[in-house]
Amino acid sequence: MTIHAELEAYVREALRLNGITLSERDLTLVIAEFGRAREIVEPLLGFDLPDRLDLAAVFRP
Amino acid sequence: MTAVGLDAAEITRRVGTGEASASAVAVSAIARIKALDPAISAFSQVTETLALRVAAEVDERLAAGRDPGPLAGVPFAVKDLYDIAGVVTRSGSKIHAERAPAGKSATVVQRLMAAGAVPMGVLNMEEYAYGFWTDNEHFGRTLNPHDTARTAGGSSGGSAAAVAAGLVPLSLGSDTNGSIRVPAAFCGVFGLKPTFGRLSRSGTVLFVSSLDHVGPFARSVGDLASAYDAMQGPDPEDPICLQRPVEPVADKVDRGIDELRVGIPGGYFDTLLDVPCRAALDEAATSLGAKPIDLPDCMDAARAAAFAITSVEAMNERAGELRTRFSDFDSKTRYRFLAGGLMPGPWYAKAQQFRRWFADRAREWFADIDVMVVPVTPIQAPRFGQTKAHVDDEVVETRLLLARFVQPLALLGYPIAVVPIPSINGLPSGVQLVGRPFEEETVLRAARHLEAAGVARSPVAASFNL
Repeated sequence: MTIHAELEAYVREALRLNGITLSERDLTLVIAEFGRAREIVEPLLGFDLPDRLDLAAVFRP
Repeated sequence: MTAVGLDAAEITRRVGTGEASASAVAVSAIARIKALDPAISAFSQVTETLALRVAAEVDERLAAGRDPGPLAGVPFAVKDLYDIAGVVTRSGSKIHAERAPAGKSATVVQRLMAAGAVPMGVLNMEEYAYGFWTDNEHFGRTLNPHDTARTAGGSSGGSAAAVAAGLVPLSLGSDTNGSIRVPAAFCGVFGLKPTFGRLSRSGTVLFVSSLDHVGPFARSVGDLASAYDAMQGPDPEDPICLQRPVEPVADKVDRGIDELRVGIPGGYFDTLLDVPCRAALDEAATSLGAKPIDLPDCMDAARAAAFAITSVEAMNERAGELRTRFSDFDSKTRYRFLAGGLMPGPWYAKAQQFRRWFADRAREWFADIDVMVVPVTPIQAPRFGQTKAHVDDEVVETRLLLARFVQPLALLGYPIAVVPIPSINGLPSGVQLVGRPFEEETVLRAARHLEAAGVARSPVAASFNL
């Protein structure tokens, strides 16, 4: 499966689970936008945070 | 009298001494807005009746011998996401335009009016504050007063353009990922993004709850500080507004910068910067005596984290409308909103974890400095339709450039003043002065230093200096 096909399958399923129905044109544009979002987020996903960083630390006063 | 070119301090002085009435100032400002705003479309609604009523109340206070307030008679206007009692808050949205008028004004609007300021109207913005161009399908495109072929920036483009054109000396905008800072730089006005939680957001429409700030635009540091002072204070109607007492700064901005340690980072903040923006940064840094500092190599990740948080929280705010009114969204924002809502949970969780780690690093680098000076944008205001820009011998997509230097810092919630620096090509550039939390006084002192040195200036745009 190509990356684009994976993205498309993911977006279609996520929309279905969220009860959102779109035209094929709108769906194509959402898939493209999600692809761009995936690219922008890449530096975060590849960033090594310390293992000890508990998610709960986010809410520490 | 005419209010053209007068800053808020001078208007207040004239009203206070009886040289002018608040009503006369309001009439003059309304006439100027009606005559000149069509050239830039900064205003989306003019609240003429309200302005004249509030101005008359200021005059009545004066006539009765009561204090008219520190902003007596000063015309101001607000981004279309602040409630004004009796006015529909549209958030740049066709959907919100169908709502009933607000029952009461936003807390900060109430506070400005209590200080004697006079509300002139509502300013154009990107739909729901999502974007940097203020090119709104429903309510039009706001043009840059310095060159109407160029964007005023966004999302608070109307707020910056109205001040740059001298239509009002004071306006309010909001900043999530740079929406005060970018338009301030593109339009050549001063802007302040206060510390997160410092000013009440009650009565404003949220875009990204954990990143949204409200703040002022003005053409002088003194006006910016006076507006900030008038809006400070706890607000029981806003759970995010901190229980912190009012800490006035307007009488402290002239204290100088002798003991301030100013740092200028290299690396990320020194890469992808065009010639005029680099010249502005260098001029500001030299005047402030800035010393080089090193920051961790994580700004691309910081930007990505801010993007992920924005995408998910923005969708969270608008989920209901997207399900039922998708086609009524601006076609430039609807796909972004929806795509953001589809982000996997772990992306958002990691963005929040990164945010904590990044905040801890920021505390470390601010242990050795009081102010950090960085550019606002890599380029000056682009032309509408400009999709690429030449920077540092590279051709880069404009959409990737505009948020480059503002979005990473959005994660921190630190106070940031933007100072406008005119360039030889006639377009302004902007510099960010970043301080530690709750040290608005420090960044405004640095801004005032640059203003007093003649480095930072905010003249009314030449075509509007009529």
